[in-house]
Amino acid sequence: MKIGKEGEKLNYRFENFGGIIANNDPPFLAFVNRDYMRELGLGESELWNTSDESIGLLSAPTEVHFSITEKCSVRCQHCYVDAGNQTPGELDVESLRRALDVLSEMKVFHIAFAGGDAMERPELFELAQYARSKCIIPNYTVSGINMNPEIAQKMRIFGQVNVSIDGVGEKYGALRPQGMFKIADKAVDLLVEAGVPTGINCLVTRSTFEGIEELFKYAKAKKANHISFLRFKPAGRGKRFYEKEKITHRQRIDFIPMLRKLSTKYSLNIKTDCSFMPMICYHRPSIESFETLTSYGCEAGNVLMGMKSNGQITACSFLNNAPNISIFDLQSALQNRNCFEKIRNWPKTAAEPCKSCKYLNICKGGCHSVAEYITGSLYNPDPECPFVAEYTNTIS
Amino acid sequence: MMNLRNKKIGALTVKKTGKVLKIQCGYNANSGSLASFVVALPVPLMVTITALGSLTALVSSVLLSRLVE
Repeated sequence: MKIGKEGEKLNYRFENFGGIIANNDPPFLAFVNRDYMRELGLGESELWNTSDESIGLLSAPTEVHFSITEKCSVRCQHCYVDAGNQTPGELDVESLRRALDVLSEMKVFHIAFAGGDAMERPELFELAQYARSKCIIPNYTVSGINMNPEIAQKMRIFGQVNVSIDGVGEKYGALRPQGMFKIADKAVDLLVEAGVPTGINCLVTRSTFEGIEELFKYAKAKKANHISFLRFKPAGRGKRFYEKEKITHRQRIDFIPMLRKLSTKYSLNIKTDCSFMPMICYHRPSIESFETLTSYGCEAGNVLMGMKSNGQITACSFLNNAPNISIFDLQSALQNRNCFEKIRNWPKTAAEPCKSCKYLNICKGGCHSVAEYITGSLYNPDPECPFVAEYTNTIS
Repeated sequence: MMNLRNKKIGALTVKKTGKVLKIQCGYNANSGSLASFVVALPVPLMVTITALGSLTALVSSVLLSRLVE
């Protein structure tokens, strides 16, 4: 059975509701029901021995953030992993290949190489090629440092490459090293010229908020395929700047309507990260519209997991107080339901106002790393959700 | 979400009874968090799912629409 281009192997896995089918051109994951899997001739699954056919907890993540080093020469002030020097315990290349074998056996579809700067490992492209050979699509975000035409060509191995650019020109450097804009800008040019699907990652902070329209103009001119907007999290070195740089309550409310307006004006697609879901829900979109675009709230430990450079698994890259599960034990931990069960089942135990919120099962409480930093427990509702702030009268 | 039964899309008649429940488009390059489309241009994205083994072609067209409207 084939899918997509002739000769391309059908990449799929079973789930309780039916299964997930991956396609590469165009890139998508299709979540299909049991009949659909049967009609494709894929047989039956023991996961279907349940009357629950809803899309809820998956058998494995679809995406893993795959850190291969904490070494980074750029050393951004706000780095969420406090990257800089190489840390002890980094997996060697053979272990990283075995880690990819584990993810392949679990039918993980996508990884994003992470760090530190993954390019600090000379084996990056070899590992990306190995992931491809295992039907895992590798993706990558770069600072732009060390990019040249030859490396840009090599980047074609990735499904998507984003360049971190929070603002244009001088506005780039609120939290990133001054002088890096030209390097990042050149990287965008080289990647687009090499035919690499290239996007922009923008960390949204108080300092960068006002420069967002300029970033749209820039991304459009550079032929970026989208901008991903990322919420600033109080993790790693970011904790030092969090109070100063987190966006205000007013900005949280204005953010999504502004993106919609600018997306139309500049004809550019927009992604936001899972932590912005409360700010989206605040504008009360229809539940069906979330299905259309498959927009995710907190999927830590479910759709998404992280792997640290020493092989430890985290529910997401910002939640570091995870149980000590190695990548090599992940399959059995998931099968034994001994892996992030509390965060995976968070909506069942949600407190007010999330408990009564109609978006509970989409948003899943906002960003739990923000909740942990501000309230002391990652299981509390995200206090920066506009609904939560109004409910608790803690608008700031 | 999308019932493909008896839908005619382009030159192809879809005869499947199965349903595509949802489609997650694109790849996520972020290594910190899960990024997904929230605003996408209202242009048809042709998502082609072809089952060559049974010589049956199944085409689903997804209209990406704005989430925040």
